[in-house]
Amino acid sequence: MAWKESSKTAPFEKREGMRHPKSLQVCLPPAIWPNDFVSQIASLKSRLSTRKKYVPPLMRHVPELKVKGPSNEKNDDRLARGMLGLLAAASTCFAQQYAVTDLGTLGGIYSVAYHLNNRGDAVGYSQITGSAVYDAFLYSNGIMTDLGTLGGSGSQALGINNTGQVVGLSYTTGNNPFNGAGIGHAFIYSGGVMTDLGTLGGTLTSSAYAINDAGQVVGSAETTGNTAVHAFLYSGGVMTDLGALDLGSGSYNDSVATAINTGGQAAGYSFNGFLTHAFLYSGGIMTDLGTLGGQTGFAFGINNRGDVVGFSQTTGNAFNHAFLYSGGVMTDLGTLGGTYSEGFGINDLGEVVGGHTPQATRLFMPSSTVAE
Amino acid sequence: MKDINPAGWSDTDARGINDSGQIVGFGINPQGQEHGFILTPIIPYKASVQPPINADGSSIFNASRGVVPVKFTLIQNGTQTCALPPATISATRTAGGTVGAIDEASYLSPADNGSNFRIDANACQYVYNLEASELGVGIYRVDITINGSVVGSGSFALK
Repeated sequence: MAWKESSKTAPFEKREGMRHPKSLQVCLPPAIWPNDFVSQIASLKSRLSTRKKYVPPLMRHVPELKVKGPSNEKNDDRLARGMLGLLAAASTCFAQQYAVTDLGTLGGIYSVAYHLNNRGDAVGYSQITGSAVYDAFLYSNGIMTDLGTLGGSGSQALGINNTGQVVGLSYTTGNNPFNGAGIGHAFIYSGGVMTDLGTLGGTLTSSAYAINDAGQVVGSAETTGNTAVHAFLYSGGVMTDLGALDLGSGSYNDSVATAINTGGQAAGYSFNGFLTHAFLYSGGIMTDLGTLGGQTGFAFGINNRGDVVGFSQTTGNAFNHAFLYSGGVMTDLGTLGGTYSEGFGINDLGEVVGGHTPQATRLFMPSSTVAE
Repeated sequence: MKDINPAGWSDTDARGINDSGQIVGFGINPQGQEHGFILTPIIPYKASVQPPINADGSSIFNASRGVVPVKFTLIQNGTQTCALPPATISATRTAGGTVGAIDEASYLSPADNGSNFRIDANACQYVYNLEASELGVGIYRVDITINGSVVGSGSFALK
């Protein structure tokens, strides 16, 4: 890991040793949400095993600047990965079939895609030819383009808007991705040019997660004196500190904004070293969305209706469950035959995607099963 | 809830969905390498019945007329297509006489090849000559099936 690993200063986590999820889609016809879906989830839950098994919380959502390939993963991680697949939870979309497009790579063996816009353009990062370095990419009309870096070695693209502007994070000039000394900055890529968005005054890292069609960018950045990492809103060339939730006694109050909609509402999470709570930022006010009863809650997606998705530990801090926050209510979306689920994205139709883990055996929930 | 794992992929993880329902994510591809992917919804076929059978079911034909031409056009991903895969017809009496599915032998005309629709490539249509004389007075529904799924229907009356 070359990216800064301090939990105080950067929301980046090691990938090694982390369990990976299965993909989850929740198709929610707005007219019948939430009662119909709640009843479906309740029905499903009643069928699930209640056997408790510790599964490390998934942190893969947290961007990291990879400089090593999958071959460095631990064996148990590989085993876990081998068990996993793609899932869709559906009420209306249970019969949906998909054509899969493998995005390929920038020449190396590895690529990860994080976001796409309504034109079908996707962004992420990929290993480049003949190197362990990973660069941000834009995939559009069948072509994957290397977006380069801010001068250092390695970058990641995390968000794209409907006009094709891309945001992410990149090593800046002079950094070495192999010795852990790298410093990364948020960038915006627009019109073929990658621009450094800077920080909130700190000398360390910043990261841009999402951009709306007005060009407003959200992310997180080190504040002056490197005393905190705070969510930021970058708009009209100015980076504004969105502050953090006051979660009470903790070693610090940090925050990360992970998503923004057309109206400028942002979602993210705030943490103090002990508690992590999802937030919704709207009209200049950061609102604590709380959790599903556990100590941690993260928000990762917001649509143009202001619906927020993420995941949270449930009561007892056992497992993460995907949640949907809509109309002032956080609803547990449950799991799909496994111990936990996580929500990452939501579109304007209210369809949610994310990940989940299966039970030890999938025989009780075969892949062809439609659970309603 | 349903597993939509792409064939041959594993350990997949979805991160975003756009307003067209396209999903972005990553996972282990069939070649064993972790790659990003896009899943694009496949919109199923939808067939629309064509004249002389009215789409609203208002058509009334004389059973003694003999043949009722059953025609369908095909729509996929929102647009009409001339790439017509094999399709079959089935007929059901919904009112008048014995209600229920009708054996092929009762509507087969000499011009037909079993229950297979003929493909009129010039008109981009499916055509089936339904022999009406044996069916008798009643209301009938004809279904068109592609790949085992009914993708369209039409209704008419015989007098």
